[in-house]
Amino acid sequence: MKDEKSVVYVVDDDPSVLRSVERFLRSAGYEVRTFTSALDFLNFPHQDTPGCLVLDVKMPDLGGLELQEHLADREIAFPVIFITGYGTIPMSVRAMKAGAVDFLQKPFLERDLLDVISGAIARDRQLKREQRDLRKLRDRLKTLTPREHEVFGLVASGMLNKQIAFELGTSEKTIKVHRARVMEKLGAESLADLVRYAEKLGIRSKEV
Amino acid sequence: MCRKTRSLTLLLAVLLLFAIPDDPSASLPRKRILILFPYESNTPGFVKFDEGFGYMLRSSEEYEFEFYVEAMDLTRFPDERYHQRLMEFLHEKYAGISIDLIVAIQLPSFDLLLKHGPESFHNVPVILYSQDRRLLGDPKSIPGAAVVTGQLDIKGTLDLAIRLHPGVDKVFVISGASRFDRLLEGIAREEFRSFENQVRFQYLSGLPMRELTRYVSLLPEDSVVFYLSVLRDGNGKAFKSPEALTLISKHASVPIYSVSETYIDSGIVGGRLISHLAHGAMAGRVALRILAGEEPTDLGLPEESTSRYIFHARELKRWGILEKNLPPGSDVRYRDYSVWETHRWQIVWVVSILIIQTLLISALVTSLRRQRRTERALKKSADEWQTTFDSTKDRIMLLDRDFQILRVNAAVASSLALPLDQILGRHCYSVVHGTNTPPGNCPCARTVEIKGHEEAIIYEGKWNAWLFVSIDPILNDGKEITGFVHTVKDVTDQKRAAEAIEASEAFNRAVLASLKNQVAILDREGTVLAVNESWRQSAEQELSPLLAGLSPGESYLEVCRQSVHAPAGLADQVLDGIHSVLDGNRETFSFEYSCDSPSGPRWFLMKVMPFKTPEGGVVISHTDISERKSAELEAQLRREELTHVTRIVTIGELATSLAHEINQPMTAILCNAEAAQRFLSRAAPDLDEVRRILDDIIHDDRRAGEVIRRIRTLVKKEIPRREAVVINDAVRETITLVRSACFLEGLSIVEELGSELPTLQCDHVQLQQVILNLLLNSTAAMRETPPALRRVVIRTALQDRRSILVSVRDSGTGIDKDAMDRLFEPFYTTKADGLGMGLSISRSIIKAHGGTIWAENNEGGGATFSFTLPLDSGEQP
Repeated sequence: MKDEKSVVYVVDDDPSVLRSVERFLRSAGYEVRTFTSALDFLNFPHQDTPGCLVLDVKMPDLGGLELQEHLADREIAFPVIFITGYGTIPMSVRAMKAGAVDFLQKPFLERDLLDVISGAIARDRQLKREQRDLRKLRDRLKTLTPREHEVFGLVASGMLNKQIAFELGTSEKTIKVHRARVMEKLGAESLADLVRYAEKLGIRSKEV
Repeated sequence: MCRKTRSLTLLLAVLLLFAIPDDPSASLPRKRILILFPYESNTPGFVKFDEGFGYMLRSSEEYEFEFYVEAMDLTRFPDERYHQRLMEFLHEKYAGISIDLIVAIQLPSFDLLLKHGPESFHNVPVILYSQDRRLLGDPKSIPGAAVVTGQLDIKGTLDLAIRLHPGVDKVFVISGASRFDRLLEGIAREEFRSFENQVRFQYLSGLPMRELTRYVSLLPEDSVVFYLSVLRDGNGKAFKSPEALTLISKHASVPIYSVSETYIDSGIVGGRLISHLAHGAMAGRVALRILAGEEPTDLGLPEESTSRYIFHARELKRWGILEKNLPPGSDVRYRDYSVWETHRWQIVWVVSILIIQTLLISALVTSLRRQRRTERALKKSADEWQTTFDSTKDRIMLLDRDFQILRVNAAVASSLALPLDQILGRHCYSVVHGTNTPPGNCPCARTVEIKGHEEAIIYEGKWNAWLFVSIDPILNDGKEITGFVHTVKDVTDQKRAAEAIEASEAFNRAVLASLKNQVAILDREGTVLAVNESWRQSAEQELSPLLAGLSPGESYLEVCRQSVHAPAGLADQVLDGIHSVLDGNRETFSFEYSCDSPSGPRWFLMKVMPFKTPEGGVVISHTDISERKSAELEAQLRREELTHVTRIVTIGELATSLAHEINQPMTAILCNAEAAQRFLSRAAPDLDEVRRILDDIIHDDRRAGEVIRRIRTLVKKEIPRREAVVINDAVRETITLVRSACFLEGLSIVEELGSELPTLQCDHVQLQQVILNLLLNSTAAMRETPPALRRVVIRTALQDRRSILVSVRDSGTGIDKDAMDRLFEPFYTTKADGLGMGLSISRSIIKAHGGTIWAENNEGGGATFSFTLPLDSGEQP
C-alpha cells in the first residue's frame, strides 16, 4: 500500500511561497499539484489517490477555512494542513475543530511539514482503504435478500438463532441457513466480523 | 457860471466886436464910369475884369464911384442897325449923366464907340482894353484912347504843354467861328509856327459843336488840345467861351491847355494863363490916372504880362502830371480845397476858442466829479471802518489822554450792557471795572511810560474769562500822547484749548512711558522722534541689537544698519520692512527674530506701523516674546513626539500583519533552501533548478528587507520634511502594509486612483501615517460587517485644480451622530484598547500641510473619511 502513489495539493496565493513549497515537497519525493486559489482546487476533478492538502489560510476570494468547509460539505474527506503567516488562537482552534490535520505557522520547520504530510498521507491512505472496504461491503450488502438483511441485523445485535427464528416466525434451521449465506456474501469469518460489519454499515437491529 | 467861463466869454465878445467892419464914410467926389462890354454880361472873363477894375478904383479912396455897365451882346446881335440904335439908346440913356470915363473892352466895343458913339461921349476919355495887343489889329487905328492890353502867352502855354507831355505828337487847336475866335486863331497860328518842328498841328476851327465834341473824343493818345476860344460855333450857335470849353473838355480824351484864367475850372489842365482880374486892376490904375487928369494918349502904357502858370489839381492828377514837374511858382488850384484851407485862420480861431472852452468846462466837471468821488470814498471808507469797528468781537475803545472814553465799538457797548451816553465821556476803568483808578494789572501804565504798544493776558474773575488786553498810544507830530486805543480780546477759548492740548500731550507721554512694550516713534525719514522708558531700559540691558539706545534725532535706520551684533541679514530685513511701511507699500510689518543676549537667546516680535499724523512716520514696537516662543517650540516638539508615538503605536497595531508580510518571504526562502539542498544531494542534481531556487531566495530576501525598511521609516522619529510625493505611490505602499491585516479580516481593498495626478509637496511618512490611520479605522469599523460585504474603497483625485483629494470609504458601521463632532478630538476613541490619537494626529498633519480632513456617513451604510492636500505647499509644519 505504501507504494501507492500519493499526491500533495498545495494552495497558496503567494506565488513565491507556492513555488518554494512545491520545490521543497518535490525534493522530498512527493508528487505535488499547486493551485493559486482555493476555487481552482475545488474545480479540479478529484481522484481517489491518497493525498493531502496544504493550504494557506488568508487568500482572496475563498479563504482556507472556507475551503475546508466546502470540502466537508461535499464530503470530500481530505486531510488539510494549514500553513499561515498568521497565527491567532481562534483561527487555529476553528481549523482544528473543522478537522484539520495540523496548523503550522510560517515560517515552519521543514521537518515539521514533512512529518505532518507523511502522517496525513498515511492516514489518507488508511482512510481511502477503509472507504474502499466499506464500499465493497456496501456492494455486498446489496446482494442480500431482504430476509437475509433482517437476519443480518438481528444476528449482529447478538440474538441467538433460536430467538431470531422466533422473531421472524421461521425455523432455526432456516435462520442458520440465512446466517451462513449472509456470512458468505459479506465475507465475514466470524460473528465478530458480522457485528463489525454491521456497525460499519450502520445497521442496527431493533432493540429487543 | 464860473469865473473862468465868464471872463472868456467877455474876451470873445470883445474880439468879435473888432471884427465888425467900420461904417463907410461919405463926402468924396463922385466919378461916373461907363463900361462897354461887347459880349454877354455874365461872361466870366469880364466878370473878373470888372471885379479887378472896381476893386482897384475903390481902393484909391479918393472918389466915390458909380459904375455903368453895358453888355452889348454883339455876338448874338451882329446887325449894324442894332449897333446904331444901341448907341442912340445909350445916348439917350446917359443924357443926363455926366460920364467921366468910358472903358471899351475889346475892339468891337471901341469900334462901335467910334462909329456910332454919341456926341456926348466924344470928349469923354476912353480906355480900350484887350487881352492881347494883337487882338486890336493895327495900333494906329486906335485914336484918342488909352490902350491897356495884356499879353496872351500862347507860346508859353504850348511850350509848357510839350514839356509836360514829352511824347506829344499832335496838337489840336480849337477855335470857333466868330471874328474874335478867328482873330485869336490867327495869332495862335503865328505863334505856333516856331513849334512846327516839334509837334504837328491840326486846327479845328469853326466846327459845329457836335462835331467838335465828337472829334475830341476820338483824339489819339499822344496828342493834346490847345483851346483858344469858341464864341460862335460852326452852326452859328453862340457860346460863352468857358461853357464851350466845358462841353469840349467833357468829351475830350486828351489834356487841354489854354491861355485864360477863366478857363481853369472848365476842364483844362492849365497853362500860362492870363488873369482877367489883374487886367481889370491894370485898367483901374490907368483909369485913376486919367481921372487924375492925365491925358489918355500920353500915358505910354507898356504891355503888362499877367500870365502865370496855373493848373487844376484834378486835371493834373487825371493826366498823371506830377507837381514837381511843374514850373516853379506854379499855382495849383482846386487842390481838394477843404473848408480848412479856405478859412484856415477863422477855423483855427474858432476851434481854439472852442477847445479852450471845452478844456475849461471839462476841468471844471472833472474837479467837481473828483470832489464828489472823494466825498463818496470818504463816506464809504468811514462806513467800512464803522462796520469793521462794530463787527469785530474784540472790544475796542478810543480814549483820550486821561483815559476818558471817546468812542466805543458795538462789542464794548453790548459787553457792558450800558447805553452809549453812560459810557462816553467817563473814564474807562470806572465804566469797566467800577474803580477810580486803572487796575494794577492794566498795561496802560507801561504804555504811558514807553509811549508804545503794550499788551497782557489777564484773567478777569468777574466774567470768568481770559482776556488779551492791548493798548496803543495815539501820538501827534510832536510825539506826545493824545489818546489811546484800548483793545480787549476774549482768549478764553484759546487758553482752554491750549490747556487741553497740554493735558493731552502729558497724557500721551504718560501712556508712552507706561507701555511695557518697547516703543519708538520715527518720522518720515526714520529719525527718532520719541522713545519710551521701556525701550531705554531694554537698550541698557542690551537685550537685542535692534533695541539700541536711541535719542531723538538719531536715525534708527542707521542704527540698524550699523548694528554689529545682529545676525546676518536681520538688519536688512528690518530696514526693508520699515521702508515699506514708510513708503506706504504695506499697512504693517511684523517680524519675529531671535538673537543672543547676555541673558541667553531671546525672541522678539517687532512691529512697524504707520504713525497716523499729517507728517507721517512710523511707530516701532518690540515685544519680548521669548517665553511665548519657547512655549510654542515646546508645543511643537510635543506634537511631533506625539505624532511619532502615534505612528509607532499604529505600527504596533500592525505588528501581526507586518509579521505576516515578513513571514511569507521567509517561508519561501526556507522551503527553497531545503529543496535546493535535497536537489543537490541527488546523484544528478538539476543545477538549473537550483539556480532558479537561488534567484527566488534572493528575491524573497529583498522583499522582506523592503518591508523592514518601510517599518523602519515609519518608526523613525524624523523631522518632518517636504518632498515631492506621488500620492498614488504613497497610497499603494500603505496598502501593502495593510493588506495582511485586511485579508485577515477578510476584507477587500479597492483602489480607485486618479490618473496623472500632479506631485504633492509633503512629508511622505506623515502622509502614509494618515492613510494608514484611515485604513485601519475602516478595517476596525467593518468587524461587524459580514465578510463578503467588507469593502474599503480608497480614492485619489484632483480636486478643482489646486488640491488632491484622498478618500477612504468603508462599508462598516458608520459614525454615530454624537461621535461626529468629536471624531477628531484627541483621546476620543471607540476602541477599548485605543489611544484615540490617530484621527487627531491625522488632522494636525493634514492641517500643517494646509489641507482639510473630514468624515461623513455614506448613504448606503458605512463612512467615508476624506482629506485634501493643496498642491502649492502650505505653511511650515
